[in-house]
Amino acid sequence: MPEKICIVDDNMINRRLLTGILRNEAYELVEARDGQEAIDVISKELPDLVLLDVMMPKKDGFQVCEELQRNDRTARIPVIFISARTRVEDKIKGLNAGGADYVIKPFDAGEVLARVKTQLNIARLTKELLKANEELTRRQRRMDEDLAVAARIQQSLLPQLSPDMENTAIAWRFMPCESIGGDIFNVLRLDETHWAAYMLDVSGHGLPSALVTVSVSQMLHPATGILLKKTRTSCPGYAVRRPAEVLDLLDQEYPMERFDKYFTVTYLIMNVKEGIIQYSNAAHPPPILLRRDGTLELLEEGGCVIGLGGVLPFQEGSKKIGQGDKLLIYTDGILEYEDKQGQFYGQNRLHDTLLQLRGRSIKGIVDGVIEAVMDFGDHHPPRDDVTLLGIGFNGEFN
Amino acid sequence: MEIDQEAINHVEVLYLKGRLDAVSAKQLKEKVASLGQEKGPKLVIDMAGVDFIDSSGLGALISSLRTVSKLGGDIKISGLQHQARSIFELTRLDRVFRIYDDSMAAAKSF
Amino acid sequence: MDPRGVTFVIDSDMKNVPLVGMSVNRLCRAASFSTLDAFHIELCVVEAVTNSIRHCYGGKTGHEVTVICTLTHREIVLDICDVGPGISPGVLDGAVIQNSPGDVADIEGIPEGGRGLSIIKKIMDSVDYRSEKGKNRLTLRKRLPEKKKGTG
Repeated sequence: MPEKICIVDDNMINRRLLTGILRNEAYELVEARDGQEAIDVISKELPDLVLLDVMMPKKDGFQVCEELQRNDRTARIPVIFISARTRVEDKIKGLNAGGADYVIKPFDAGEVLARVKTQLNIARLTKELLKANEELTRRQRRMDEDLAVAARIQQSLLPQLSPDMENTAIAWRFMPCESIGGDIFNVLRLDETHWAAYMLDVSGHGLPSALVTVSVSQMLHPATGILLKKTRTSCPGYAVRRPAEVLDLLDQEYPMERFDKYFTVTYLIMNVKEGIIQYSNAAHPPPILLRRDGTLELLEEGGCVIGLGGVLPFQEGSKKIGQGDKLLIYTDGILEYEDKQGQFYGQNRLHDTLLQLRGRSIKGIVDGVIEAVMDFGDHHPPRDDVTLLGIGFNGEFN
Repeated sequence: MEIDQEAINHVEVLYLKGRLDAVSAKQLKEKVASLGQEKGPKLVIDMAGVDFIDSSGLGALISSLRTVSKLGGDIKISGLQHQARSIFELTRLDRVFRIYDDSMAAAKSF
Repeated sequence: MDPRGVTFVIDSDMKNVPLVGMSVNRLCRAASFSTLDAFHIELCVVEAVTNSIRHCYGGKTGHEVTVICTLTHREIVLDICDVGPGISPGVLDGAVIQNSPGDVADIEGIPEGGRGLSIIKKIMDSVDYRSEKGKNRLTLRKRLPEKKKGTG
């Protein structure tokens, strides 16, 4: 649609001159011969720009401009004054009345055209900016709503999340793709030396998957005795069950036939005195150990998904952690978040982002990763649950 | 501006994110003031997430340092991006604050 | 190259300052300034506009600050205009960065504010100030980086 310009001048020759200058530029032109007609024409036509003479019968240009400013529909239309008055006071008066620019008669065709283009450009950019802002606000609101829902679910599913591990900072983001998710995670205190953390991702979405996640998270509660086993032979009368054993138990409890679901899980035990992590990884994306010096190590040992009935034994790995190291556990919703071309966010981008965010707080890193992931896909809603848990080891180890 | 807080070796670390300017200066001063009247507070202000700082932001850091040093404590700065670092150097405030590469190094320096 | 320009008019609200700052930063980078130079020029505009809102308008919203950016073939010129009480004579000339004491024990002696103008003077090539009948204009100039031989 061509941009519309309204030319207001009581002098027919001036109108003709201005029309002549603008005619070749594919603008739609409308005219008015005095102040009152200008108000009528502008309110009706809502042009993109007004060229306004100052000295006119009935209403002068300043009055017209002020009147346009008072009306919400016309207040944003830029006005360029065209006047023979050359005193600085007049210019100021024009700009104070709400004019965007001022051209002095006799005018130069090139100058008029340049100023018209500039003002139209500014108006267009302003409009785009307003639109972009609206879109941004809308998206923000939607994300806030999503997060509010996620937070509520999170609260009901994760009553035991314990952020008070000494000298350790924990942060997480959980964005279910539907109102309820198939991902779940927790950080649990086993005894004064040992903490456990796990994250699992049940196949599929929606209520059936969520039911399995709830069931598993209940099973992994310290009170069920799965994570700690009784011993008769040694003090203190219990032992921490090794990660591979825990995964074996899950594999027995959740055969694929039973629920028509399988899941990936990472289970790890942190010895918070000595700074040692033991883990096993059932086909879950490998957690990333971000060392303080910027090296990245993956926690890859493990086996296949839970639910296949022990086809392969689960392998265990262990890592010595140091002060300032950070551990990131996540689901494949992060890696497989797509951009418009259907490209995955992927492991490499995740690693690059982590290196850029190195040195931030654990919350800064977790929020920063989610921001980078969402930016990559233009903030479209994720197709899979997106879950990220970060643990920052701030204490010194023996 | 966002401010996260973590403890490293009983040193409080404030991680700042965003612009430290006339709008957010007050927020930082209030945050530091809210940390309590404990004796000899040890504080690290980490600026790895700060992509812009102006003289109002520098003023807030100086005011915070004053608050903390009245109680016998100190503030160390960490994680400065090179643009922010250039402003510290330009205003010679790199001589007033001790500056470290990362929050861990700053916290351990106490 | 003809001078090219863009004008920003903002309400005297500190929340609007980053908007002008970031726009000027992008303009500078488009005009071949380095990332660091662009950041420094953004800083100067932020300082100038903040000064204007704080001192000319007493920190109150509802007034206008105009920033006119003009790009010529050799420099960028930034005019920051406001209407009201201007900078007192001598303040601009007196604005220099003091040697801060290296000793943190002297923290009481380090001023908290008033660094804006001295930062501007240190970064920009020239700083001029004109005030006439309550209309004030601070003009900042910075030369474009030299083009490499053979490409200019």
